[in-house]
Amino acid sequence: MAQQPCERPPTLLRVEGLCVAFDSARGPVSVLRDVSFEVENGEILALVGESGSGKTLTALSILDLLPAGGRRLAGEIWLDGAGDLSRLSPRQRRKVRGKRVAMVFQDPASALNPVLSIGFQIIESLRLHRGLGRRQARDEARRLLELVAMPDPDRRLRSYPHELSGGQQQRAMIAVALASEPDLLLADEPTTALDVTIQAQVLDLLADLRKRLGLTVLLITHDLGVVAEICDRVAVMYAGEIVEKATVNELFADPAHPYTRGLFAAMPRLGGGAVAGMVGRIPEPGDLPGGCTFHPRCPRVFDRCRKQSPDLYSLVGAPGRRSRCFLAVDEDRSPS
Amino acid sequence: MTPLLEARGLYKTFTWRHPFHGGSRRRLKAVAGVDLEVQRGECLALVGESGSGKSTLARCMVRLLEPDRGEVRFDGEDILGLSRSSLGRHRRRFQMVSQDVAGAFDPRLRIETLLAEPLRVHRVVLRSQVGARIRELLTQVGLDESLLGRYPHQLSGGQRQRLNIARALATEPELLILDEPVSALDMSVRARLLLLLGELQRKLDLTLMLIAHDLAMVEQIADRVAVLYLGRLVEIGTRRQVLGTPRHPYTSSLLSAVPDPSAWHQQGKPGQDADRRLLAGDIPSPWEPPSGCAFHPRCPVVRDLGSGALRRCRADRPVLSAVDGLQAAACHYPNEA
Repeated sequence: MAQQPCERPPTLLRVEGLCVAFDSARGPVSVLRDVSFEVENGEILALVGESGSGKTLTALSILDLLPAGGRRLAGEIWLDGAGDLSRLSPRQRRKVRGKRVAMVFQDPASALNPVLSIGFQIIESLRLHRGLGRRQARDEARRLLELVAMPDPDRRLRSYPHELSGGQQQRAMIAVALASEPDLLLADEPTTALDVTIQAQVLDLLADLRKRLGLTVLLITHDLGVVAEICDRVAVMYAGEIVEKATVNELFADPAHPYTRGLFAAMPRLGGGAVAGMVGRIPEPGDLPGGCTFHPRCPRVFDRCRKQSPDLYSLVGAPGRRSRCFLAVDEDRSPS
Repeated sequence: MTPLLEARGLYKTFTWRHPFHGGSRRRLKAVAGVDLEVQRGECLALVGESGSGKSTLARCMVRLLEPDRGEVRFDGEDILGLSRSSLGRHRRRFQMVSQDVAGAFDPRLRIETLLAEPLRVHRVVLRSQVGARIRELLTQVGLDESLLGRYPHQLSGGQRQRLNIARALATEPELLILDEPVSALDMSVRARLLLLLGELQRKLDLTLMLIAHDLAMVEQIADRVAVLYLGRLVEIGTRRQVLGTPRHPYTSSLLSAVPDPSAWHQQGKPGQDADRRLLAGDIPSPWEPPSGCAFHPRCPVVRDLGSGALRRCRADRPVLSAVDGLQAAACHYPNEA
């Protein structure tokens, strides 16, 4: 990696060469292959992909929360100040990921504990991770609910999750996540279960928290609209690999990878004209096509794609932009 | 011309009896006085947030739920007055495709059996022609014949939704009600399913009623759009009218909440849209709907218009009235939206 210490803000999280496989009756099935990316301090990085692309597994790997049967085969996860998390002892690791990395899930109704009040769930984290006393923790919990713009915070401290609406539950979960004052927030489809009006409110809240607290967010989503609203940079995933990396502006102005282009064409937008479908579907992890994993669906496929897997190439003239496609380097076939 | 499906003054209330407290009752007006027409050959979209009553309204209109009051006519015939058996005969003319693609099928039946069932029940074709019809249905929705021996769980989400549509088409219906047909699917699959629906509508001369919350998706296939809020229609009109020049503030708020991937082009930076009307708060509980205009506590327009307007909106419920040709809105200030 190029050394540019002055120009780049310090990297908070660096994932390097992450490979994950699941054990199956037919042997290990690879679900993440060579996933590498960085999250800079204070930015919102989007991991975009459809179901089965590996975006959630990437986040779970960071937290060491892979589901049973999942194993990390290779890769390093560096958190600023803590080093490679996989080299830490389980106890140290637990401390780091509890305090410095927090996660917000897609379905707040099942992520919050239904038999404990919202206040209890926030205070629990405050006492554990920040060692606050009872009174202090209560005041702080109230402040956190105010921070996430929860209406009527005093009453909500005593409420149980089922008494809140979906949007309020998501705000409560963000408050729980913020209680440990994390450096990094992993948000897995935080607005997918919400109505579009409430989604807009929650996205606004995340953007606001980033501005006010300097929070760094890794946002996992399938929705390019959400990406455009609040993210700075994007990594697009397909079938367990990152296929494109770009800033939001670059990606929306000129998507490089044929898969990303397909996603844009398939996405209905208001006043945006007719959609175009993409053929086929994401391959099953145990049944990946040879060569480039996208080639059976790619409208611009050529011989080399069927035989060889492309690397994540740098794009000519665009530092930091990457595309896992031969078109990025094959001059003859590059878009004119 | 008689509309294919028509509702007049439709009401549906759910009653909940408290298990203690002497069995006190609460009533939830899920549909509160809706008039709606679906013209032959059109695609009408019902939009609104969850809890707005879209699905209840649609289910009442095909008598999957019994409305409390009102009238529903299918092709001019009052279907609420029909006996169970004659309703059954009519059922093949309107079919519903549900959102839950996984739960829509008996998991123990093969695709072939799943498709043969409606053909047998409604005696659509002669027994000897069932096989041929099944193949025709599969082709219509773009599924391969090789899937016939499979079970639903062996299909992908998109394939399952196609199967769902094929099964609805089995009875050769005139009207198809689609409840969030693509929202459970992945993006790349969604687009192709939308295209398929448009194609089927043209080829089979179908009338579609589409329940959806995604306005960008609605724009792709709807001819007219009806917006529901807490069980009432607040706006209706052609797609171009409702999505282009909305006359109810709720519609404009819904539109501005749709993430706009091209916004950064105009704004320079994402999420900086000053005109954006973020709705405050959630949709109110339908158990206790606000007085007057049910939208007034969240309304960005009345907030700007001052206390006189607020008093009016709090006291009087605006009725749905024509603003421009086919467009009607239930708002005291339709020119402010």
